[in-house]
Amino acid sequence: MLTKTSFQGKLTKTENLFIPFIVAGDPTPDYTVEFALRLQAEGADILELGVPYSDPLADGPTIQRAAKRALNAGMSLRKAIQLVPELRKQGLEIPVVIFTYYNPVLQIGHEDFFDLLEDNGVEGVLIPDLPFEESEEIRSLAEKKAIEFISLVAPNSDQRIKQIAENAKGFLYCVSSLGVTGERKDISSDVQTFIEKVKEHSKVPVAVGFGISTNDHVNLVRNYADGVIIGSKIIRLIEDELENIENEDPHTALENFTQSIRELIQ
Amino acid sequence: MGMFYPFLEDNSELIGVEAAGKGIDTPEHAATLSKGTPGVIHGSMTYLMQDENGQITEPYSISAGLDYPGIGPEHAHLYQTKKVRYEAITDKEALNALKLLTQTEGIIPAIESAHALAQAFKEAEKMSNEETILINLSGRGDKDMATLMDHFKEEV
Repeated sequence: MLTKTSFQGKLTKTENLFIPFIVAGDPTPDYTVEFALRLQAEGADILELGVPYSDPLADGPTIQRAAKRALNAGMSLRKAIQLVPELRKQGLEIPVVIFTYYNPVLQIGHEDFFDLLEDNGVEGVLIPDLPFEESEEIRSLAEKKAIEFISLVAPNSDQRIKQIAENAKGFLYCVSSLGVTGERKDISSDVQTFIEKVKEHSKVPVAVGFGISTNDHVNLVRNYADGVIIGSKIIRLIEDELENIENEDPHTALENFTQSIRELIQ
Repeated sequence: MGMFYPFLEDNSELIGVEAAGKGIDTPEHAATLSKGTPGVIHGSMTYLMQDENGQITEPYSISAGLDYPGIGPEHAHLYQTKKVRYEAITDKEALNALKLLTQTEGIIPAIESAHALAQAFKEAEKMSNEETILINLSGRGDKDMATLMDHFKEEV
C-alpha cells in the first residue's frame, strides 16, 4: 500500500510521476528558474535540483559537462539551496529534491545543512554517495525536519534491496543499469523484474532513472514503474539551446525546450 | 600502509613522505596531509584537497601514483594520532634522489619511492653512524622512463 501523501503533503500522486533532473546554475541561475518552470508546466511532479560537484562519481559525461558550466559560473551547495526560494517566488509549486554529493554536505555540517534546507523550503534530499549503512544520522535529521531522504537502489544491491526499499522515503530511486548516468539506446528487459522485486518492499512510489532518453523508454518504464527520472536527456536538450542562450534569444531557447520535453514525455 | 605496519608497535621513528610537486606554497602539489582538510572522497573519510565549498581541487605531482587529492584513511589516522611524521618532497628533490641512487647503486627507483629517498638523505644528515635507516623502495622506475627522459634530456 503506497503512502498517499508525502513531501509535506505536496505530492498527492503516487503513479505516473515525471521527475526531471537539472543542474542548478546550468548555464546560469536565471535559466535554472526558467527551465524548472517549463518542466512544471509540462507536468513535472517533483524537481530534482542537482548541485554541481567536482568529483561526480555517479554521473556520465553529459551531467559532468553541466556541472562544469555551473561551477564555472560560481554555483555551490549553499547557493543551490538558496535558489529554491527564488524558484518559489517565480511560481514553482512542486516539491524540490536537492541532489548533492556528500562532501559539500559534510563541509557545511549535518545540522547546518538541514537548517538550510528547512529555511529555504526544500522538501527532499538525495545524496548518491552516502550508502544506506552510513546514513543513519542524516536520515534521522531529515525525519525531524519532515524532509524526505531519497534512497537509491541498484540491480546489484541484492539482499540490501529489501532493507533499502522498506526504509525508503518520498520516492525510491531505482537505478536502471550498472554504471553512470547518461543516455542509452535500450532499457534492459531485466529492469521490469528488478522493479517488481523492489515494489514488494517499498511503501513509496518506485521511480526509474539512468538512461531514460526517448519517448519509447518513458512509455515502456511507465508500464511497470510509478515514475521516470530523466536527467542527461534533459540536460542535452538544454545544451541544444546554449547557442540561442548565448545569442540572447531566450524566447526561442525556452520554446524549443518546451517542445522537446513535450515530445519526450507525451 | 605498507611497510609501516610491522613497526607500529615498536620504538622506531616512522616518517611518511608525500608529494610537494612544485612546492607546497604553490597550487601545484599533492601534499594532502600538509595542506589538506578532513572530508570524504571516493568512499573514505580522510584528508583531502578541497575549497571552502567542499569541491575537490586539482592535485599535481610529477609521479602519477602520488597525483591524487586524497590519502589512504590509515595514513590520515597515523597522522592524526602522531604515530607517523609526514613530510613533503618536491619533484626536483625526488628526481635528484632518483638520479643519485641510479648512479651509485644501479637501482632505478620509481619516482614515488624517490620521494622517500630524498627525505631519507635529509634525515641522514641529522643522524649518527650507529643509527639505521630503512627505506621502503616501493616500486621500480622502469615505468617512469618516459618521464625521466623528458626531465633529464637537457643533461644528455
